[in-house]
Amino acid sequence: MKLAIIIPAYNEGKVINQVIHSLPKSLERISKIDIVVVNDGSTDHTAEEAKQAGAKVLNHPINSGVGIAKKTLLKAGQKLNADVVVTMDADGQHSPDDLPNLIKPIIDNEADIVAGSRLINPNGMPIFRHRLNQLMNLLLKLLSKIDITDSQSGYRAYNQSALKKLQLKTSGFEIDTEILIAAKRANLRMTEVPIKTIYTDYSKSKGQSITTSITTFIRLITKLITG
Amino acid sequence: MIIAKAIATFFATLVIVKVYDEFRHGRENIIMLFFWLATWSTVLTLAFLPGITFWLRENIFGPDTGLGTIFGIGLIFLLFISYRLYIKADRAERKINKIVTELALKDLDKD
Repeated sequence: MKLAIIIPAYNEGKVINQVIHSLPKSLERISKIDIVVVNDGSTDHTAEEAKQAGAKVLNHPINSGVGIAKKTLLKAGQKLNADVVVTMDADGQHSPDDLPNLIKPIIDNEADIVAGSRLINPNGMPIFRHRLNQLMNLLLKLLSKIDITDSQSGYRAYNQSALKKLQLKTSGFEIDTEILIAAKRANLRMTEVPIKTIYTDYSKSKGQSITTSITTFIRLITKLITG
Repeated sequence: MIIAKAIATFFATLVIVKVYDEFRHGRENIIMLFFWLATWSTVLTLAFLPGITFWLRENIFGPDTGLGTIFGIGLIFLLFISYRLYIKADRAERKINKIVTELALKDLDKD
């Protein structure tokens, strides 16, 4: 089976090399691993660092936001024709040790989408982010009847069927939630696995700000109401 | 009324200076320069000669039309323009996003 690990990155030149080097070179039941970085118009040396670390780099000519970067990476996953496509953040907050658990339900054909959940064991998560995540989950449960513990996680695995069926419209941080809504509409099988989160000063500084979180929350409500 | 004159002067100066600067650097065409000059000159004229509003009511809208109605019509017009601009900006953004994704995916073929 082929695995593609796709990482959206914007000005992550300081850590992208380390993140790519931390990824496994081989995994059980996986014959080939492709590492792809979607460089979202970075103004630093993200693309060069990623290339140097051995990743394929897809360049957005301008900074278009995380939502568009994720749309690009899902399409890249389709084009690479990988059996399993994993998306992870570029700031180093996701542990490569969780990869085997994340892809197992896809390999065993038990799920089309696997979401890594930071909230099954939320140790170390900043309290504001924890509460906001819970609020987003509650909102998603009330309006879309999707019962998930971490609707905002970017550490996910998809199979080809999921990549082909997901129809996405949004372009901001709310895309992670929209993916879940689109997956439910497409009758895709979803499951969650617990993941560890590595909180460093760097990864905390790269996370969503309060303003972005509120904007995402408002956009999400609009999306859930308007469909 | 001094406040109205001050606000109108402030915004008119801001827009005219900005539009002229854009025109000087070749980022705006002459038609748009004249359009904005005419629009903000009208705003300034109405702010400094408010009697024109009464003349318009008497001669164009009719003496029975309240000033509130005239402003209401103006507000509806502005809201319609805002809606059209929103739609156009949204469409342009979607097109740009699509192009950005397509260009990025071409990098896959290079390797």
